[in-house]
Amino acid sequence: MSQVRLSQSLVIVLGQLLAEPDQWRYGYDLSNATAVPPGTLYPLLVRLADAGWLVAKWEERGEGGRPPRHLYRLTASGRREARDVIVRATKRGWAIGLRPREA
Amino acid sequence: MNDNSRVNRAVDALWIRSTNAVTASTRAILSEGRAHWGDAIFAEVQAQHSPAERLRFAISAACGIYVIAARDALRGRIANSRAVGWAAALGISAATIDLTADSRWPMTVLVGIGCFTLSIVIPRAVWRWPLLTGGILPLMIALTGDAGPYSYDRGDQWMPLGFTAVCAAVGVLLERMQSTRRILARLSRITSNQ
Repeated sequence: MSQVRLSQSLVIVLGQLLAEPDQWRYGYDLSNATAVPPGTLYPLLVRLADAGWLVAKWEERGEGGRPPRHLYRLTASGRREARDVIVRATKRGWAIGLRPREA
Repeated sequence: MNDNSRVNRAVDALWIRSTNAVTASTRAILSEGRAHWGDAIFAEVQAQHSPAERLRFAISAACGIYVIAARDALRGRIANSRAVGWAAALGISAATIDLTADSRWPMTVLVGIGCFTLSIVIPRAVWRWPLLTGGILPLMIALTGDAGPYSYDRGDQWMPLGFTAVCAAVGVLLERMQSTRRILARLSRITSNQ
């Protein structure tokens, strides 16, 4: 398993994924909830998937004729690593500003 | 159909074409193993309601995908990429200091020590270190057109390159001498054991 470099965006995204670890999330939802732009979010998701922290799957069927979305969730090891990352970030005094999800 | 609706349709078609071009580029630029990330962005873009939001999301996500594709392309192609990055950063810093400082000493010390150290620690493809440390100054002068203190004697801008080449040669020589000494010591241990 490769290492994932610690960054503020990584911490925010991991915090958001950890908030509801059993929930499958999609890119737009994550980008909106964390205010991390898609240009930063997707490279992060790719790195997390490469490291084995993230598992992805396709939505069973897209609504209203649109193509199925790609969904993401932390793996068991990803959750452990994410907690560790958040502890390290907190020790560094980083502010982990999580925005509440919109209903 | 009146003129307004014709213009609106043309604008909508332009949004859609631009968005499709951006998302298609992400699909095309990625390697086979990563192509599904391009599909993921395409699906996400299609789920947005406003054409402007679609294009904004597509452009931003595409920039991220280009970064991933570039990193994949470079991975493993540049040996000691971190050291190369540090050497280039040192070369740029030293050249910037040199073009603004009154004395040549800061530049000489920075590139000399940097190049010598790199040549001892990483003697592989040692020609990179003088080019990246001492060779940045003439490159910066050529790119910016600002020769700073070298305006009157343009030939002097090449001196750091020559100096770092000497530093690299000395570094490699020392490294070779050390490794030869190590090999000889090992040989003498083997022969004395026999």
